[in-house]
Amino acid sequence: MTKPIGDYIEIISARSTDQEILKRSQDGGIVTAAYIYGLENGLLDGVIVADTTEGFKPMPKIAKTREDILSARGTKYSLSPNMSLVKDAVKEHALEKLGFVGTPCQVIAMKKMMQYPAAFRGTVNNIGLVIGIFCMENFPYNGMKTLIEEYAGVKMTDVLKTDIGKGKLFVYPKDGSEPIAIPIKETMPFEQKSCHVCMDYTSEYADFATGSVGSPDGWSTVIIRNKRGKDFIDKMIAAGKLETQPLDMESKFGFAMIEKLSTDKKTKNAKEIEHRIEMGLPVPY
Amino acid sequence: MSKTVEIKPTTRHEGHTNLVLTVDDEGIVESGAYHSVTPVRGFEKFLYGKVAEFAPIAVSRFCGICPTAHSTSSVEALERACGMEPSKDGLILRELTAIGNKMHSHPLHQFLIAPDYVPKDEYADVVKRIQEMRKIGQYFVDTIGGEAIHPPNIKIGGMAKNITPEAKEKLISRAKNYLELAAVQCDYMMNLYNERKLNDGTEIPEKLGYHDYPLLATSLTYGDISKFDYSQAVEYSPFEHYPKEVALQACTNIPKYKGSLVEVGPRARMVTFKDFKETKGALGIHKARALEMAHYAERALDLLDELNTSGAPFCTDPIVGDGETVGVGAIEAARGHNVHAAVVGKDGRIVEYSAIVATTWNIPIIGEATVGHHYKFAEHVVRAYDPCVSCATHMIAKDYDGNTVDEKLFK
Ligand SMILES: Cc1cc2nc3c(=O)[nH]c(=O)nc-3n(C[C@H](O)[C@H](O)[C@H](O)COP(=O)(O)OP(=O)(O)OC[C@H]3O[C@@H](n4cnc5c(N)ncnc54)[C@H](O)[C@@H]3O)c2cc1C
Ligand code: SF4
Ligand SMILES: [Fe+2]
Repeated sequence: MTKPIGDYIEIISARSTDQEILKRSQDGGIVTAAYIYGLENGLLDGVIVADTTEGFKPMPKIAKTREDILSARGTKYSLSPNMSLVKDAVKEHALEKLGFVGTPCQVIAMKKMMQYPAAFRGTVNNIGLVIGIFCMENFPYNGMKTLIEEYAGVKMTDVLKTDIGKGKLFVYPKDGSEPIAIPIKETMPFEQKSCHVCMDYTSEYADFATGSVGSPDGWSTVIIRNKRGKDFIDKMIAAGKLETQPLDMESKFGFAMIEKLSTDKKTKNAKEIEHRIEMGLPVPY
Repeated sequence: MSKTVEIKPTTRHEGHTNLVLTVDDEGIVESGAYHSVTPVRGFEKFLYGKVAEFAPIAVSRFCGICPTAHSTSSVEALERACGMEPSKDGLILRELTAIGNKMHSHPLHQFLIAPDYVPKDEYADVVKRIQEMRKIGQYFVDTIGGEAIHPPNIKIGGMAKNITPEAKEKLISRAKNYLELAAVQCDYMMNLYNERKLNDGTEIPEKLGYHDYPLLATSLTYGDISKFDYSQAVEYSPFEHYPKEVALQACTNIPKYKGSLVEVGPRARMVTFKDFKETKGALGIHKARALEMAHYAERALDLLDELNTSGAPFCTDPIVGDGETVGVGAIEAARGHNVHAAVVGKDGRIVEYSAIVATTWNIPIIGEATVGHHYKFAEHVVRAYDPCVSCATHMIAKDYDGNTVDEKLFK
């Protein structure tokens, strides 16, 4: 475990300057702002988002308009198989500069596909941008449903937004009433088992990765990892689409917190991997 | 005193074949046998008992150049065996995919014969243009078929997916681009062919490749089952056609239509549907192939115009047969009339499967068409047919002792 948060060129705090995006984005609206900027400036011609269907169920979707991208703002704490649409996007949608967002595991899948494009010949040349989001853990849909309906007493069809922070899962109802908080230790038993052997917190293989941890409320941390990511973010800043501030390198809530959480995840999950190997169970590494 | 000249392997075409010629003292070919030595893979046998949906996926693997033609013939055969009516837009998408395959395959063949005809100093430009054209053809197959090679969207009942309006626009603009490239490429190749010379200055005999067999084609760009009577197609053992020593090596059946060998492919189509005049000779096939390219792009534009991108791509009728009805699919592959026939059982599984592939029809003619000219021209006759031999190879003939294993295959 040499580098807790992987390789990067630069790390900043940033926030979208578009008030409409911020109204319902999870954090600083980086993903939504990048997608819309890419689409409006020809850097991307279509993007994959995690939208929701009935009952706040995540559903990947190919978005080609500002409206469709806006509609998918916000984090869904259940699996959204975003990779499953990559090929469709490039084939029958004929997209040539596809934007992709995913959890670290999905970003790993995407990068593997780009390295070894078996059955994806042609597809890999048409990926315009790979955005990663931070991810500590995720939940199967039915687990999330049990949590929200049983613990929080909110029907899935009435959920506006969910957020994990400050040791709690917050459920925001559509009627605008106060969010209901569920302590993380209650949610743990519902986590996906695969997340317990996952060794990536900050999407180490993305062009750039983003999450809330390390930055003030309403802002996002952006870890710029390669030239494509840097060019993209630089252009957005130059176009006035992002406002930025240096990442907090002093207090324990800034850079130190990202490193700490990432190290914690890797340490804990490395143990679980060892345990599973001992038990003769399969692990993905 | 005649002697034997063997060219093995023949080159610059797909698959493995030998050419066995007897020539006189002047080197003039007296008799010619052209045969596949590509190992038989036995597709028809291993399809027996499999679910019908597996067939188009499997037969696509006959070949990496013509996978589209085989999947397409296959689904047509299976639909007829099951009495299904594929969706309208599915058929349009399917024809577009099949056309894309030919839009790439014809220029590919011109690349293979370029070392014979194209002057060295023009070679790079020609190859570049060929590659641009192939790219467009493959883009059609990739976008509509889902993969440029072994397109998975070709399915019983239509196509697995429709395309978006944006994809349609891109295809239209590429088809127009192809038309422009094809016009230049066709003119260029026609001039070379009309000179009747190889690029080293050797004059090509006027009657090279002449034969008297009839031509068979069912459509200019796609396939029309009403113009083909499957009951008139009979496959014979290579032992009934070749000298014994050759037949022992040969890995294809010899198909006849209405009692005769037939030539299939570009010339057959252009003569049948476009009043093309050169009914004989190797160069005539080259010319027909060059002329066809523009027809494909034109047809593609018509089809795209007709396509409703929100139409259902496939019909949902159950894929079950009656265990008796022989469904036949006949598609014009780049190399010609490509026939698949199938029977599907009430459980949706394949009861019988058989393919008579484009090059299979041409193989016996190719050898004979070398007769009457110096053997140094024989390979040019072979290449004119653009043989795709792994496609053509279908038979399980002998056991290790040289005994016929399955007599009924030949009768
Ligand atoms: C399961 C999960 C766990 C996370 N854990 C952490 C964490 O521990 N620490 C942290 O700092 N950040 C975490 N995040 C990231 C964080 O919640 C925000 O998604 C991120 O900061 C982006 O916010 P934004 O305002 O830039 O995005 P927005 O502009 O709101 O857009 C969010 C984008 O993410 C996509 N998306 C939403 N849900 C999913 C999903 N399930 N799978 C794939 N894509 C999705 C949406 O399509 C949308 O385009 C997690 C995200 C997920 C999905
Ligand atoms: S914790 Fe790992 S495995 Fe689980 S969703 Fe997040 S990135 Fe994927
Ligand atoms: Fe072939």
